[in-house]
Amino acid sequence: MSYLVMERTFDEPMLDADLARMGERLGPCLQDHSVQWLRSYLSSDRRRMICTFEAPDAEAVRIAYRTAGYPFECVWQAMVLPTDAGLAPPTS
Amino acid sequence: MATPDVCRLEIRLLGRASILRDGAEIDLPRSRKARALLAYLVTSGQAQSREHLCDFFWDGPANPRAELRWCLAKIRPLLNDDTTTRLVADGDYVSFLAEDVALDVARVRELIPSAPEDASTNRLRQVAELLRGPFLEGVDLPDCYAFDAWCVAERQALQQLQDGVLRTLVQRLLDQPDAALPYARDRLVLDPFCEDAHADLVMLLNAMGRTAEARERYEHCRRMLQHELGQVPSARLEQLHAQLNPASHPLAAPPSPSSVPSSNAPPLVGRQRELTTMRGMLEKGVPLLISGDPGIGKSRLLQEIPIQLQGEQFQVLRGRAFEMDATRPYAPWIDALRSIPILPTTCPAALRSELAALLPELGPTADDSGDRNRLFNAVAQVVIEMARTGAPMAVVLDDLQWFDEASAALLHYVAHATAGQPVTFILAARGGELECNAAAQRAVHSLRRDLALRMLAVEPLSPAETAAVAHTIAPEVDGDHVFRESEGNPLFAMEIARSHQGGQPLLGDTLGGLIAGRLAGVGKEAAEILPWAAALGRRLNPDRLAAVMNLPCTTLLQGLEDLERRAILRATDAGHSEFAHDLIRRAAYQSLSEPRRRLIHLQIARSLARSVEQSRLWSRKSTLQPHVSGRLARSSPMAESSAGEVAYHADLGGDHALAARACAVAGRYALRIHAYADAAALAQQGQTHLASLPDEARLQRAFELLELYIHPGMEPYQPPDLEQRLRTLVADARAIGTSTQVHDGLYLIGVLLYLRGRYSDALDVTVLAERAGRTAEPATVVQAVADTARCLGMLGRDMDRAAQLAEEAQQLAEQLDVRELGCELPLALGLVAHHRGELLQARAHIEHALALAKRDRTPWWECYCLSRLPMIELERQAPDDALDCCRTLQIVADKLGDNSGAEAPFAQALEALARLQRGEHQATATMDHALEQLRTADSQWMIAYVQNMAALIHWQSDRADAARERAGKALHAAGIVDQENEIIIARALLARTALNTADRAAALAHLEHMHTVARDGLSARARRAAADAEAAVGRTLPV
Repeated sequence: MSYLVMERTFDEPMLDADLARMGERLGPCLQDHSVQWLRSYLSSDRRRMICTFEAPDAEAVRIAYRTAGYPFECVWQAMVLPTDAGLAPPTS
Repeated sequence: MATPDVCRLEIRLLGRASILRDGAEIDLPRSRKARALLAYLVTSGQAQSREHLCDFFWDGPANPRAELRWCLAKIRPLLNDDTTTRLVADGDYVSFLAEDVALDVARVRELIPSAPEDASTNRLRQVAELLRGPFLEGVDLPDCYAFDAWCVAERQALQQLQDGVLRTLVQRLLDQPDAALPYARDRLVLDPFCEDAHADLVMLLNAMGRTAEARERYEHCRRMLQHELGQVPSARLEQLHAQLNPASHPLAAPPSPSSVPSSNAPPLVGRQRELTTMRGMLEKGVPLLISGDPGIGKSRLLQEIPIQLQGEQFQVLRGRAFEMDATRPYAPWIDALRSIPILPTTCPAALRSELAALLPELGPTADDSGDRNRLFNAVAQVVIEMARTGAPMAVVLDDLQWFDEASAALLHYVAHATAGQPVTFILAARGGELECNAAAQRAVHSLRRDLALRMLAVEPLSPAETAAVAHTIAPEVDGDHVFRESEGNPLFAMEIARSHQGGQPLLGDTLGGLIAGRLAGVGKEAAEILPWAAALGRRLNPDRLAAVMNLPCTTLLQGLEDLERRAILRATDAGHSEFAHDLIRRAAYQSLSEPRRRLIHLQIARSLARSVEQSRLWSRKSTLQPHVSGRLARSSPMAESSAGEVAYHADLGGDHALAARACAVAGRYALRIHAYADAAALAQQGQTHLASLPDEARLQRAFELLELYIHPGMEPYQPPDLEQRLRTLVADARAIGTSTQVHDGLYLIGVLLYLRGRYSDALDVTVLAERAGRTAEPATVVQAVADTARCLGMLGRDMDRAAQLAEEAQQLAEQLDVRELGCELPLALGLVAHHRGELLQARAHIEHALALAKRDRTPWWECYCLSRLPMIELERQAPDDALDCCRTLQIVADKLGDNSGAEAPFAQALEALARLQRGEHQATATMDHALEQLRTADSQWMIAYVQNMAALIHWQSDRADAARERAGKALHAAGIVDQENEIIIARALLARTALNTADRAAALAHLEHMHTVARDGLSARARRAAADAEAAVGRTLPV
């Protein structure tokens, strides 16, 4: 399974209701394509979003989103960096 | 690092299931089955075989192991973390390791290993706290018999244990009745018919000196035993009751006539402790529940909030429930939202259509009826928005014990959604009655658990305060005497004072008796109004009263004035009237004889129905979701909401036909505003009126009432035999009903099956419904089936089923002349034909799908269809046609502008394949470049396809080494995404290239792998590749 990141932007700020609706529509499609949603980040202005998944490949995430009718900017495979001292951001 | 005492993971299975990691609640999967699986693994405490789990949780799906894998994938991240693996799936076994985990069920059993009587009181208290709700509340799987039986058995065992714990605690704490009382009440919640628990409560209340409440409790129990069980109280209860009536009330006071006082708000005397607490909670933003006996002054305290906050920046949202609000879902919230005068002008546009379901004055409701969470979220957003942009807000909700299920659920949601915002909830409820309302009780439990809800019990007034209250009405009444009589209950004290003023002898009457005495003394007009007003409910709309009584305006006004002057009614802010206290309304109602009550309710029901009829709301409208029916006619929810009242009065008035009809209408309204428990209750209530109706009306109503259950939100309330009941009704309709009823019934069955995912059965029934004469088009069902077929086709999974669904959808679309479908159906047919190797047919279908995708302006679908065409042409060995297709594909793929998408490189790779097929070997470089981009885009299936096709071309042009290399890469990519067709094709080529180098072992190994896959589900291309490889091996090696 790969670790995948998806980026999205929205013209209008996303409401909680929109998010809930999106979750409902996406759920079955993600499941069909063996995609497991891990976590999402929504920017404070609610116009940008990053979602992370575990899936066989990035195409599975793309097809799931497209089948559900949701656009996205890009989906990319990622590696998770260990949070040891060497890779942590510098502290002031 | 977790300390030994604090577990990092806390799993709560008692009450609403939840998991807390490091103290923070994490989201559970939406799937009930996944939650159930989690609970079972966690509770059983031993390794379970996959086979057992499949049998336990799945009854019949095509691939239970895949379902199990999916569920395990859902729960794994909840249980495991960076350092600890608790869910271990080891080969054929799955187990849960309870490392660094606190599990409430295990803790209960650890604390009480044997009989509760053997445990220490401290342990019993801890267990009583842990047993906060039924085991796995809301996680029922009635279709999984094995799990259901296990879950019910666990629940019963824990409930028995809880009963034992509470019983033992009450016995141990008899000398501390204050401490024992909550346990006795909890025991009653567990079993409201437990006479022993009622008796305990009577005993404890008496021991605490709350004899009036003890007496009411006895009466409540006696009535319940008589009505519900047809029994009389036990000797123990009677004995306790006898102890409640000592001659300690020898009351006699000199009667003295006086004028009747008029007051809208009773005086507030004392209550400094309560006011200080209330103020403190408002300042800190901590929710508060004020509880106490009827008449003790809870509502009066709530009325005091705006007065106390005068001069401070605070907004107050105020609502209250009434005893008859069970017929009006969300009533307290509707009142609360209407208490914001500026809402219609300031409500954000995005929330307006959602809130309009509750407040029709906000405009049209959302076209897409959505779900309950959206409505709840809209209410929460309004509250948050007001609190953020204006002053902090107090949400004041009174008489929680009468909240309907939907209102209680909304309270739970809004309280949680507004946590952390400047919003404070101040609630009030009758302590002894809250336990009879499971929904409200659940909301209180959750607020206590999650939001640290504080409880404030309003105590009786002191002797001096009681006297002060009485003296505001009758200055000369004996204060000590009033205190002895009323036991510090201010309403009781005021009634005694009024009775004293009215010249009534004080004979140790109950509060109800005193009120009844006072009501008997009203004037002629008031006496005429009173029974009707009492039957209509605590809140009075004078217009409605005049209409149902057909009363001249002057008589009505005189009567209302008289009742207000006597503080029986009081004017409200909205220009209406209401009974000063519900006990007064109840006394007025109870003074009516049974036949008179029935007549009054009957007349009210018919009068209300007439006004509703005038608004043409009684025509049948479907409750089906728009995506299913698409035929839902809209009506004014404002007037339709009255149907619940009609149902209530018609029920009590004994008009079965009207009651059944009103239940159906009210049920549809309840569904529209997502009040599912209310809709279920109305469906059930309506069915009790069917037996005496004439055949045709009975069938009609029965269909309407059962239709209420056919809604996604009604799943938890559906009777287990719903489908059978509908089929029986259809059979009845064939025998004695009309053809319209037959096809309506069949259509309902079709939709029910559709909602349950039984598409094929749904289609069969829908066709039957069509044959029975239905004229409406079931385009949505056809569309949904085609959609499923397309989805399976794209996944390349279960293609037989995809083919079956696609063909059924096509037949049905032709049969019913369904047009205007999207690209789904031809695409599904094309994918199936491609899979079967019927390439020309596949091309025709996909070209059709492409045209529809263009028409509908869906670029990605256009691109998907276009990418299939060169694949078909390549497989047909028609590289020139493939190149033509690739040119168009490239243009559309570039337009998608998706930098990391795979469409553009796939188009390039397909073009390179076409060139290779034409013998242009230099295309290899272009293809490798495109493959590199596909690797970056991480599209393994596309890589596998391109590499396999290239390997085949190399093989056919005698470049065995290149073919082997590409087939190896294809095998790797196909393995990642578990694409069996491409795996077989790659292995077939690898076997053949191995033979070429006389590597017999490798060739046989590939062959052996290929034999482990069932051939039935493979594509024609994969089957052909496998057959070629087997033939080659057979020719070369002796098998």
